[in-house]
Amino acid sequence: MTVAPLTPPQPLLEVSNLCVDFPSEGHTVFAVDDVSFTLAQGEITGLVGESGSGKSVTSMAILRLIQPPGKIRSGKLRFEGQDLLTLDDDAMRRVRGGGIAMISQNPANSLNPVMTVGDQLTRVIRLHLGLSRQEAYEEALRGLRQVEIHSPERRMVQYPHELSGGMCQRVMIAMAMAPKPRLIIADEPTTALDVTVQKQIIHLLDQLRQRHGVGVIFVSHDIAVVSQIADKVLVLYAGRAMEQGLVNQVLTAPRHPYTRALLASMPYLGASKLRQRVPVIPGHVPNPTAAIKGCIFAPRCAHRIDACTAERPVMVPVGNQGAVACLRAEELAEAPSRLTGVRI
Amino acid sequence: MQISALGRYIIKRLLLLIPVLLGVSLLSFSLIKLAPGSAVTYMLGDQASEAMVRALERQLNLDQPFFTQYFSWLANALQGEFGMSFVTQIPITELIAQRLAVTLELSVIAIVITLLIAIPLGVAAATKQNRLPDHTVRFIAVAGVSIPDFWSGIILIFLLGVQFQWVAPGGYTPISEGLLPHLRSVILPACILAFINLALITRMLRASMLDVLSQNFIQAGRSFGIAERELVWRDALKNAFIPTLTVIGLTIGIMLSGAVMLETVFSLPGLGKLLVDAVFQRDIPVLQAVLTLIGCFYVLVNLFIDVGYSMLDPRIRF
Repeated sequence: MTVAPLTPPQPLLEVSNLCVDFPSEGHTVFAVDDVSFTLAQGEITGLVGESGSGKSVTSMAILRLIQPPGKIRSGKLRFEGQDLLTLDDDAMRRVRGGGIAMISQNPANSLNPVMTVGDQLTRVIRLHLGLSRQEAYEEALRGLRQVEIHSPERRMVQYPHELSGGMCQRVMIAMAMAPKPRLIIADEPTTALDVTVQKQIIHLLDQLRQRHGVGVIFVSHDIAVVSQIADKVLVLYAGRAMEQGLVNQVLTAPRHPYTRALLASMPYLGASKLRQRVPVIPGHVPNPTAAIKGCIFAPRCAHRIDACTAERPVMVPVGNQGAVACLRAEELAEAPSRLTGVRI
Repeated sequence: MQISALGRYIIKRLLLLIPVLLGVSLLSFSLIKLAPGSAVTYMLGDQASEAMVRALERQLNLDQPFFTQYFSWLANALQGEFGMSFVTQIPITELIAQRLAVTLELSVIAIVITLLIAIPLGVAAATKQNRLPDHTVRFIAVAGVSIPDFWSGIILIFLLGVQFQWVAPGGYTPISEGLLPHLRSVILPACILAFINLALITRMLRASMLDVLSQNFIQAGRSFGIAERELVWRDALKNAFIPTLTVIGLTIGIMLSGAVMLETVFSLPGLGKLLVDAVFQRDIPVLQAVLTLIGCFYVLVNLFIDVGYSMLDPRIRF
């Protein structure tokens, strides 16, 4: 009889206190500053934020693909218990594509324009699964069928420019799934696609998660899309984590003033007046440098008090699995909010 | 279906060759007429009497109107008959056949040397930007553009040919007298010829490599675990070579004019030497034939380049 482990099962991915710096003239930009989150097997976490919030940098950092002069300054990345930051280059390369696969923002230019779809698919399959040419070809066909591509034999000999954007994204998903990774990072996978294709791709990712139990990090600026697919969400702003928690909790009862403002600024159909203005967050996203003390959102925050600019708020656990980095979170939660949550 | 489209394209380009060559021949024909001095005075010397000049002109058809001369030349040329050299009285077709091989060999060796150096250097310069290989490329580029080829030719003949005696200081040894002596007589001019275009091609390759390496699919390739070496040498290079190919096509023209200079400096019996001698001797039929041939060659090379394009880049179809 086996003894049940006392500790909860090991998370698939554990990001702790990740910091990524980009030196630029005279100062250093803290593109990702002290971000932590965990992801369980089969779970989908949404990374949400505006442009420049550090969501893409976070996902590139997980694959250790930050381009110099940028670098991971500190933090821990554990994937299936393995410390990614201490792996040698060869072992890290096997993790890329093999353990963690990435689907990127622009499917049309994520494929090599002068190589056939088939050559690109079989190359990745052979690299990670060590199959023969013929076996890899069969595997690639199977992969294309799985992402619902019709007549895959024909697609194999076509070049990327002969496929539509949605078709390219399916090929990318097939390529990501083929080596049987345990984690998929989808960086704005639907942004460049039209809404109907967006829906299909999201449905596809969800199916793959259910069928194969892969974990997914879904990076998006679009909260509506994240709400459709994610279990948990992490809200980033200027490289720092603002709030995290179960997607329903965060979206229906946001604790952080930034999350509230972000949700309030979302346009939605069926607004009471046709010309109702969408509320905007005043100001703009700052360049996160060392000079910024206190809460990085403070300059744009409607609920700012003096303490906000003096001291940097830490992530404090709230509710079920949630956490928020705001000094006034508790106080503001009790007061009835002027800002309403998103209608899902 | 694609092959037949390509075939149609090639036929179209070959047909376009006709007006191009007509233009080339007409231009060279009239330029020669405009130039001072005539073949007849050259052949007879400046002491010849008026009557002797007239007689020879009639014999060579030089007393006919311009267009009559041009069209009768054209009619013969179309049958592959370029006439006799005024000076040596050897049929021009035969003269060219002897000389063409030397120039072609020189150009082919030069292109091979150029590519053997330009590809690794261009790739290294792009992947190690602002480090030693990049600075080397910049140095070669400046040197290649600023040093005239006849000057580097003479200096290198002096150093390698006379001082160290590694290569022949000039003159041509045919391959029938042994491969090594033959190579020793052509390797230096071929290297200098290569050097002229090396800078241009390397810089072009460096620039397009930098452009390709910053594209999304390279980063996507990294995220799939594909080795950096494969991404650079297979994915990026194939993409970056497409624009570089155009430049290579253009440099073939520069190479031909370089061959004219270097064959003179190294006294190699090539087309360039034939052309220069013909200019000095006012050997009009030879000049016309060589110029037309060079024009033809240039257009054909660019046709090959365009066909090569469609093989490298599946997005280009004709």
